[in-house]
Amino acid sequence: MATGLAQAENSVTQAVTVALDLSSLVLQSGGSTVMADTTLRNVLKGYGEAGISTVFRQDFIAASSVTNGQAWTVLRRLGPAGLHLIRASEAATLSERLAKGEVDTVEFASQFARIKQLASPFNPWITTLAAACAAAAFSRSTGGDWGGMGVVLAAAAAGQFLRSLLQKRAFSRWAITFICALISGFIAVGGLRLGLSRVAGATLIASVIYMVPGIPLINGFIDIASGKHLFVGVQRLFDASVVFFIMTVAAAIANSALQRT
Amino acid sequence: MDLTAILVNSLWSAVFATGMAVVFSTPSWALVPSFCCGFIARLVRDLLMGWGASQNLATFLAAALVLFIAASFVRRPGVSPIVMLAGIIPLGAAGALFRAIVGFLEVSSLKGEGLSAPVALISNLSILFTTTCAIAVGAWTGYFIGQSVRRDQLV
Repeated sequence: MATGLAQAENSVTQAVTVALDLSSLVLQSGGSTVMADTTLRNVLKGYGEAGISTVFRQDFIAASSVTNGQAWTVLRRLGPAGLHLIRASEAATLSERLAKGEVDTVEFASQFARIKQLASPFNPWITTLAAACAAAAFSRSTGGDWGGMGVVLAAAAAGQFLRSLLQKRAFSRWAITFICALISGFIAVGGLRLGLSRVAGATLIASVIYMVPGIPLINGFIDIASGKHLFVGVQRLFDASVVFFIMTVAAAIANSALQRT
Repeated sequence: MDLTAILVNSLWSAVFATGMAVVFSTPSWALVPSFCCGFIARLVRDLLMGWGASQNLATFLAAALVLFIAASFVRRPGVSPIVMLAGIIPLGAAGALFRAIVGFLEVSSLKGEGLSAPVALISNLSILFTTTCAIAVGAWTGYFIGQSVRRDQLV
Protein backbone atom coordinates (compact mmCIF):
# COMPACT_ATOMS: atom_id res chain seq x y z
CA MET A 1 0.00 0.00 0.00
CA ALA A 2 2.77 2.37 1.03
CA THR A 3 4.71 1.44 -2.11
CA GLY A 4 1.68 2.19 -4.28
CA LEU A 5 1.27 5.64 -2.72
CA ALA A 6 4.96 6.36 -3.19
CA GLN A 7 4.73 5.33 -6.85
CA ALA A 8 1.72 7.61 -7.32
CA GLU A 9 3.68 10.50 -5.78
CA ASN A 10 6.67 9.78 -8.00
CA SER A 11 4.46 9.66 -11.07
CA VAL A 12 2.88 13.05 -10.32
CA THR A 13 6.22 14.60 -9.46
CA GLN A 14 7.79 13.34 -12.68
CA ALA A 15 4.89 14.63 -14.79
CA VAL A 16 4.96 18.05 -13.13
CA THR A 17 8.74 18.32 -13.39
CA VAL A 18 8.75 17.48 -17.09
CA ALA A 19 5.78 19.77 -17.76
CA LEU A 20 7.53 22.65 -15.99
CA ASP A 21 10.75 22.01 -17.89
CA LEU A 22 9.05 22.05 -21.29
CA SER A 23 6.91 25.03 -20.39
CA SER A 24 9.92 27.02 -19.20
CA LEU A 25 11.69 26.16 -22.46
CA VAL A 26 8.78 27.72 -24.40
CA LEU A 27 8.92 30.87 -22.29
CA GLN A 28 12.69 31.20 -22.61
CA SER A 29 12.52 30.73 -26.37
CA GLY A 30 10.12 33.60 -27.07
CA GLY A 31 6.72 31.98 -26.58
CA SER A 32 3.88 33.79 -24.83
CA THR A 33 2.75 32.74 -21.36
CA VAL A 34 -0.51 31.52 -22.90
CA MET A 35 1.50 29.19 -25.14
CA ALA A 36 3.66 28.01 -22.22
CA ASP A 37 0.56 27.38 -20.10
CA THR A 38 -1.06 25.31 -22.86
CA THR A 39 2.19 23.36 -23.29
CA LEU A 40 2.24 22.60 -19.57
CA ARG A 41 -1.42 21.47 -19.62
CA ASN A 42 -0.79 19.28 -22.65
CA VAL A 43 2.12 17.51 -20.96
CA LEU A 44 0.11 16.93 -17.79
CA LYS A 45 -2.74 15.59 -19.93
CA GLY A 46 -0.31 13.29 -21.72
CA TYR A 47 0.87 11.92 -18.38
CA GLY A 48 -2.73 11.54 -17.23
CA GLU A 49 -2.44 14.09 -14.44
CA ALA A 50 -5.07 16.67 -13.56
CA GLY A 51 -5.85 19.07 -10.74
CA ILE A 52 -2.46 20.81 -10.82
CA SER A 53 -2.54 24.54 -10.08
CA THR A 54 0.07 26.72 -11.72
CA VAL A 55 1.39 30.23 -11.31
CA PHE A 56 3.45 31.96 -13.99
CA ARG A 57 5.81 34.81 -13.25
CA GLN A 58 8.60 36.27 -15.31
CA ASP A 59 11.27 34.69 -13.10
CA PHE A 60 9.63 31.38 -12.14
CA ILE A 61 6.78 28.93 -12.72
CA ALA A 62 5.14 27.18 -9.78
CA ALA A 63 2.93 24.09 -9.83
CA SER A 64 1.13 22.79 -6.77
CA SER A 65 -1.34 20.10 -5.82
CA VAL A 66 -2.37 17.77 -3.03
CA THR A 67 -1.27 14.13 -3.16
CA ASN A 68 -2.19 11.61 -0.47
CA GLY A 69 -3.42 14.45 1.71
CA GLN A 70 -0.16 16.37 1.49
CA ALA A 71 0.13 19.70 -0.26
CA TRP A 72 3.26 20.28 -2.34
CA THR A 73 4.64 22.90 -4.70
CA VAL A 74 7.35 22.64 -7.35
CA LEU A 75 9.11 25.80 -8.49
CA ARG A 76 11.07 26.17 -11.71
CA ARG A 77 13.31 29.23 -11.97
CA LEU A 78 13.42 30.89 -15.37
CA GLY A 79 16.66 32.18 -16.84
CA PRO A 80 16.91 35.16 -19.15
CA ALA A 81 14.42 35.03 -22.01
CA GLY A 82 15.82 34.69 -25.51
CA LEU A 83 14.39 34.24 -28.97
CA HIS A 84 14.59 30.81 -30.53
CA LEU A 85 11.36 30.29 -32.42
CA ILE A 86 12.16 26.78 -33.70
CA ARG A 87 12.65 25.60 -30.14
CA ALA A 88 9.42 27.24 -28.95
CA SER A 89 7.54 25.76 -31.90
CA GLU A 90 8.87 22.24 -31.46
CA ALA A 91 8.31 22.26 -27.70
CA ALA A 92 4.68 23.33 -28.12
CA THR A 93 4.07 20.79 -30.86
CA LEU A 94 5.67 17.98 -28.87
CA SER A 95 3.32 18.69 -25.98
CA GLU A 96 0.35 18.55 -28.39
CA ARG A 97 1.47 15.19 -29.72
CA LEU A 98 1.88 13.85 -26.18
CA ALA A 99 -1.60 15.06 -25.23
CA LYS A 100 -3.07 13.40 -28.34
CA GLY A 101 -1.24 10.15 -27.56
CA GLU A 102 0.87 10.30 -30.73
CA VAL A 103 4.06 9.81 -28.68
CA ASP A 104 4.59 7.85 -25.49
CA THR A 105 6.50 9.16 -22.49
CA VAL A 106 9.74 7.41 -23.51
CA GLU A 107 9.79 8.97 -26.97
CA PHE A 108 8.66 12.25 -25.43
CA ALA A 109 11.73 12.26 -23.17
CA SER A 110 14.12 11.65 -26.07
CA GLN A 111 12.42 14.31 -28.21
CA PHE A 112 12.57 16.75 -25.33
CA ALA A 113 16.30 16.16 -24.94
CA ARG A 114 16.74 16.78 -28.68
CA ILE A 115 14.76 20.03 -28.58
CA LYS A 116 16.81 21.34 -25.64
CA GLN A 117 19.97 20.83 -27.69
CA LEU A 118 18.60 22.53 -30.83
CA ALA A 119 21.01 25.12 -32.12
CA SER A 120 20.09 28.09 -34.27
CA PRO A 121 19.88 27.08 -37.96
CA PHE A 122 22.04 30.07 -38.84
CA ASN A 123 25.65 30.66 -37.88
CA PRO A 124 26.57 33.94 -36.14
CA TRP A 125 27.89 35.51 -39.35
CA ILE A 126 24.61 34.92 -41.17
CA THR A 127 22.69 36.28 -38.17
CA THR A 128 24.89 39.38 -38.13
CA LEU A 129 24.36 39.92 -41.86
CA ALA A 130 20.60 39.40 -41.46
CA ALA A 131 20.39 41.91 -38.60
CA ALA A 132 22.33 44.43 -40.67
CA CYS A 133 20.09 43.92 -43.72
CA ALA A 134 16.96 44.13 -41.57
CA ALA A 135 18.12 47.41 -40.04
CA ALA A 136 19.07 48.81 -43.44
CA ALA A 137 15.69 47.84 -44.91
CA PHE A 138 13.97 49.43 -41.93
CA SER A 139 15.83 52.70 -42.54
CA ARG A 140 14.57 52.75 -46.14
CA SER A 141 11.01 51.90 -45.14
CA THR A 142 10.97 54.85 -42.72
CA GLY A 143 12.21 57.40 -45.22
CA GLY A 144 15.98 57.00 -45.01
CA ASP A 145 18.25 57.63 -48.00
CA TRP A 146 20.75 55.27 -49.70
CA GLY A 147 23.72 56.77 -47.83
CA GLY A 148 21.94 56.28 -44.54
CA MET A 149 21.19 52.72 -45.52
CA GLY A 150 24.92 52.02 -45.88
CA VAL A 151 25.66 53.66 -42.53
CA VAL A 152 22.91 51.64 -40.85
CA LEU A 153 24.20 48.45 -42.45
CA ALA A 154 27.65 48.99 -40.90
CA ALA A 155 26.28 50.18 -37.54
CA ALA A 156 23.87 47.26 -37.11
CA ALA A 157 26.43 44.70 -38.27
CA ALA A 158 28.96 45.94 -35.71
CA GLY A 159 26.33 46.05 -32.98
CA GLN A 160 24.95 42.57 -33.69
CA PHE A 161 28.46 41.09 -33.92
CA LEU A 162 29.35 42.58 -30.53
CA ARG A 163 26.00 41.41 -29.16
CA SER A 164 26.69 37.79 -30.10
CA LEU A 165 30.14 37.99 -28.47
CA LEU A 166 28.74 39.45 -25.25
CA GLN A 167 25.91 36.92 -25.15
CA LYS A 168 28.47 34.11 -25.24
CA ARG A 169 30.23 35.67 -22.25
CA ALA A 170 26.93 35.74 -20.29
CA PHE A 171 26.75 39.51 -19.86
CA SER A 172 23.44 40.78 -18.49
CA ARG A 173 20.81 41.51 -21.13
CA TRP A 174 20.50 45.15 -20.16
CA ALA A 175 24.28 45.68 -20.27
CA ILE A 176 24.42 44.07 -23.71
CA THR A 177 21.60 46.29 -24.96
CA PHE A 178 23.29 49.42 -23.67
CA ILE A 179 26.76 48.62 -25.01
CA CYS A 180 25.55 47.50 -28.44
CA ALA A 181 23.14 50.44 -28.82
CA LEU A 182 25.97 52.79 -27.87
CA ILE A 183 28.35 51.29 -30.44
CA SER A 184 25.71 51.25 -33.19
CA GLY A 185 24.66 54.78 -32.25
CA PHE A 186 28.25 56.07 -32.41
CA ILE A 187 28.77 54.56 -35.86
CA ALA A 188 25.45 55.95 -37.11
CA VAL A 189 26.13 59.45 -35.77
CA GLY A 190 29.68 59.24 -37.14
CA GLY A 191 28.27 58.51 -40.59
CA LEU A 192 25.87 61.42 -40.26
CA ARG A 193 28.71 63.76 -39.22
CA LEU A 194 30.70 62.66 -42.28
CA GLY A 195 27.73 63.68 -44.42
CA LEU A 196 26.97 60.19 -45.68
CA SER A 197 23.28 60.72 -44.99
CA ARG A 198 20.94 63.66 -44.60
CA VAL A 199 18.14 61.80 -42.84
CA ALA A 200 19.35 61.79 -39.24
CA GLY A 201 16.31 60.33 -37.51
CA ALA A 202 15.80 57.27 -39.71
CA THR A 203 19.54 56.52 -39.73
CA LEU A 204 19.98 56.79 -35.96
CA ILE A 205 16.88 54.80 -35.06
CA ALA A 206 17.37 52.10 -37.69
CA SER A 207 20.93 51.52 -36.46
CA VAL A 208 19.56 50.07 -33.19
CA ILE A 209 16.30 48.56 -34.49
CA TYR A 210 17.68 45.00 -34.45
CA MET A 211 17.44 45.08 -30.64
CA VAL A 212 13.91 46.47 -30.38
CA PRO A 213 11.92 44.14 -28.09
CA GLY A 214 9.03 43.66 -30.53
CA ILE A 215 8.15 40.07 -29.63
CA PRO A 216 8.31 40.60 -25.84
CA LEU A 217 5.98 43.60 -26.29
CA ILE A 218 3.52 41.57 -28.39
CA ASN A 219 3.72 38.62 -25.97
CA GLY A 220 3.04 40.97 -23.07
CA PHE A 221 -0.15 42.21 -24.70
CA ILE A 222 -1.19 38.64 -25.60
CA ASP A 223 -0.74 37.64 -21.95
CA ILE A 224 -2.82 40.59 -20.78
CA ALA A 225 -5.50 39.99 -23.42
CA SER A 226 -5.79 36.35 -22.34
CA GLY A 227 -7.16 37.58 -19.01
CA LYS A 228 -5.32 34.81 -17.17
CA HIS A 229 -1.77 36.11 -17.12
CA LEU A 230 -2.26 39.78 -16.36
CA PHE A 231 0.66 40.18 -13.97
CA VAL A 232 3.25 38.38 -16.07
CA GLY A 233 1.98 40.35 -19.09
CA VAL A 234 2.55 43.61 -17.24
CA GLN A 235 5.99 42.37 -16.15
CA ARG A 236 6.88 41.62 -19.76
CA LEU A 237 5.68 45.04 -20.91
CA PHE A 238 7.70 46.74 -18.19
CA ASP A 239 10.77 44.68 -19.06
CA ALA A 240 10.42 45.53 -22.77
CA SER A 241 9.94 49.19 -21.86
CA VAL A 242 13.18 49.14 -19.87
CA VAL A 243 15.06 47.66 -22.86
CA PHE A 244 13.52 50.34 -25.08
CA PHE A 245 14.53 53.04 -22.58
CA ILE A 246 18.12 51.73 -22.40
CA MET A 247 18.37 51.81 -26.19
CA THR A 248 17.06 55.36 -26.26
CA VAL A 249 19.50 56.56 -23.61
CA ALA A 250 22.43 54.90 -25.42
CA ALA A 251 21.40 56.50 -28.74
CA ALA A 252 21.02 59.86 -27.00
CA ILE A 253 24.49 59.58 -25.44
CA ALA A 254 26.04 58.71 -28.81
CA ASN A 255 24.22 61.60 -30.41
CA SER A 256 25.22 64.20 -27.82
CA ALA A 257 28.83 62.95 -27.47
CA LEU A 258 29.50 63.28 -31.18
CA GLN A 259 27.71 66.64 -31.40
CA ARG A 260 30.23 68.08 -28.90
CA THR A 261 33.26 66.93 -30.87
CA MET B 1 -2.75 57.26 -52.23
CA ASP B 2 0.67 56.60 -53.78
CA LEU B 3 0.55 52.92 -54.74
CA THR B 4 4.19 52.82 -55.87
CA ALA B 5 5.43 54.17 -52.54
CA ILE B 6 3.26 51.67 -50.70
CA LEU B 7 4.65 48.79 -52.75
CA VAL B 8 8.26 49.92 -52.27
CA ASN B 9 7.79 50.36 -48.52
CA SER B 10 6.10 46.95 -48.35
CA LEU B 11 9.09 45.43 -50.10
CA TRP B 12 11.51 46.98 -47.63
CA SER B 13 9.31 45.81 -44.78
CA ALA B 14 9.42 42.29 -46.19
CA VAL B 15 13.23 42.41 -46.19
CA PHE B 16 13.10 43.72 -42.62
CA ALA B 17 10.79 40.85 -41.57
CA THR B 18 13.04 38.25 -43.21
CA GLY B 19 16.15 39.63 -41.52
CA MET B 20 14.46 39.63 -38.15
CA ALA B 21 13.23 36.08 -38.79
CA VAL B 22 16.87 34.99 -39.06
CA VAL B 23 17.72 36.85 -35.83
CA PHE B 24 14.79 35.08 -34.13
CA SER B 25 16.10 31.63 -35.23
CA THR B 26 13.18 30.90 -37.51
CA PRO B 27 13.55 27.68 -39.56
CA SER B 28 15.08 28.14 -43.02
CA TRP B 29 11.92 27.02 -44.84
CA ALA B 30 9.94 29.77 -43.04
CA LEU B 31 12.06 32.62 -44.42
CA VAL B 32 10.14 32.94 -47.70
CA PRO B 33 6.75 32.82 -45.91
CA SER B 34 8.11 35.41 -43.45
CA PHE B 35 9.05 37.62 -46.41
CA CYS B 36 5.54 37.23 -47.86
CA CYS B 37 3.87 37.85 -44.50
CA GLY B 38 5.97 40.98 -43.92
CA PHE B 39 5.05 42.25 -47.37
CA ILE B 40 1.34 41.49 -46.99
CA ALA B 41 1.22 42.96 -43.48
CA ARG B 42 2.63 46.33 -44.48
CA LEU B 43 0.76 46.40 -47.80
CA VAL B 44 -2.62 45.70 -46.21
CA ARG B 45 -2.06 48.18 -43.42
CA ASP B 46 -0.95 50.97 -45.76
CA LEU B 47 -3.77 50.29 -48.23
CA LEU B 48 -6.39 50.33 -45.47
CA MET B 49 -4.95 53.56 -44.08
CA GLY B 50 -4.95 54.98 -47.60
CA TRP B 51 -8.65 54.16 -47.84
CA GLY B 52 -9.30 56.07 -44.65
CA ALA B 53 -9.05 53.43 -41.92
CA SER B 54 -7.47 54.48 -38.62
CA GLN B 55 -3.96 53.24 -37.88
CA ASN B 56 -5.13 50.96 -35.07
CA LEU B 57 -7.90 49.35 -37.12
CA ALA B 58 -5.60 48.89 -40.12
CA THR B 59 -2.89 47.34 -37.91
CA PHE B 60 -5.40 45.05 -36.22
CA LEU B 61 -6.78 43.79 -39.55
CA ALA B 62 -3.33 43.35 -41.10
CA ALA B 63 -2.05 41.39 -38.07
CA ALA B 64 -5.18 39.23 -38.04
CA LEU B 65 -4.81 38.51 -41.77
CA VAL B 66 -1.13 37.55 -41.48
CA LEU B 67 -1.66 35.23 -38.51
CA PHE B 68 -4.74 33.76 -40.21
CA ILE B 69 -2.61 32.93 -43.24
CA ALA B 70 0.17 31.56 -41.03
CA ALA B 71 -2.17 29.43 -38.91
CA SER B 72 -4.29 28.18 -41.81
CA PHE B 73 -1.93 27.55 -44.66
CA VAL B 74 1.69 27.64 -43.53
CA ARG B 75 1.34 25.11 -40.75
CA ARG B 76 3.21 21.85 -41.23
CA PRO B 77 3.18 18.79 -39.02
CA GLY B 78 5.43 19.52 -36.06
CA VAL B 79 5.46 23.28 -36.54
CA SER B 80 3.63 25.99 -34.61
CA PRO B 81 2.60 29.28 -36.29
CA ILE B 82 4.89 31.07 -33.81
CA VAL B 83 7.67 30.66 -36.39
CA MET B 84 5.80 33.20 -38.54
CA LEU B 85 5.83 35.86 -35.82
CA ALA B 86 8.53 37.86 -37.61
CA GLY B 87 5.96 38.54 -40.34
CA ILE B 88 4.05 40.96 -38.13
CA ILE B 89 7.11 42.79 -36.82
CA PRO B 90 6.94 45.40 -39.64
CA LEU B 91 3.52 46.39 -38.32
CA GLY B 92 5.17 47.68 -35.16
CA ALA B 93 4.75 51.30 -34.37
CA ALA B 94 7.97 52.17 -36.19
CA GLY B 95 6.93 55.74 -36.86
CA ALA B 96 5.82 56.32 -33.30
CA LEU B 97 8.94 54.63 -31.99
CA PHE B 98 11.06 56.85 -34.18
CA ARG B 99 9.25 60.03 -33.11
CA ALA B 100 9.27 58.97 -29.43
CA ILE B 101 13.07 58.57 -29.44
CA VAL B 102 13.54 61.86 -31.24
CA GLY B 103 11.08 63.41 -28.75
CA PHE B 104 13.08 61.95 -25.89
CA LEU B 105 16.22 63.59 -27.24
CA GLU B 106 14.39 66.90 -27.60
CA VAL B 107 12.91 66.78 -24.10
CA SER B 108 16.35 66.15 -22.61
CA SER B 109 17.67 69.35 -24.18
CA LEU B 110 14.74 71.72 -23.61
CA LYS B 111 15.68 75.21 -22.41
CA GLY B 112 12.41 76.92 -21.61
CA GLU B 113 10.96 76.92 -25.08
CA GLY B 114 9.37 74.12 -27.08
CA LEU B 115 7.03 72.98 -24.34
CA SER B 116 5.09 70.94 -26.89
CA ALA B 117 7.91 68.36 -27.02
CA PRO B 118 6.86 66.47 -23.84
CA VAL B 119 3.28 66.38 -25.12
CA ALA B 120 4.50 64.97 -28.45
CA LEU B 121 6.58 62.40 -26.59
CA ILE B 122 3.59 61.21 -24.56
CA SER B 123 1.47 61.18 -27.71
CA ASN B 124 3.99 59.02 -29.56
CA LEU B 125 4.36 56.64 -26.63
CA SER B 126 0.58 56.25 -26.53
CA ILE B 127 0.58 55.47 -30.28
CA LEU B 128 3.31 52.89 -29.65
CA PHE B 129 1.16 51.37 -26.91
CA THR B 130 -2.09 51.23 -28.88
CA THR B 131 -0.43 49.98 -32.07
CA THR B 132 1.33 47.13 -30.26
CA CYS B 133 -1.95 46.30 -28.55
CA ALA B 134 -3.68 46.22 -31.96
CA ILE B 135 -0.97 43.88 -33.31
CA ALA B 136 -1.34 41.50 -30.35
CA VAL B 137 -5.13 41.39 -30.45
CA GLY B 138 -5.15 41.13 -34.25
CA ALA B 139 -2.59 38.33 -34.23
CA TRP B 140 -4.55 36.47 -31.60
CA THR B 141 -7.80 36.91 -33.52
CA GLY B 142 -6.28 35.75 -36.81
CA TYR B 143 -4.70 32.79 -35.09
CA PHE B 144 -7.98 31.74 -33.47
CA ILE B 145 -9.87 32.05 -36.76
CA GLY B 146 -7.16 30.10 -38.59
CA GLN B 147 -7.17 27.36 -35.97
CA SER B 148 -10.97 27.22 -35.97
CA VAL B 149 -10.98 26.76 -39.73
CA ARG B 150 -8.53 23.89 -39.33
CA ARG B 151 -10.46 22.53 -36.31
CA ASP B 152 -7.09 21.89 -34.73
CA GLN B 153 -5.93 22.15 -31.16
CA LEU B 154 -4.94 25.58 -29.95
CA VAL B 155 -1.47 26.25 -28.74
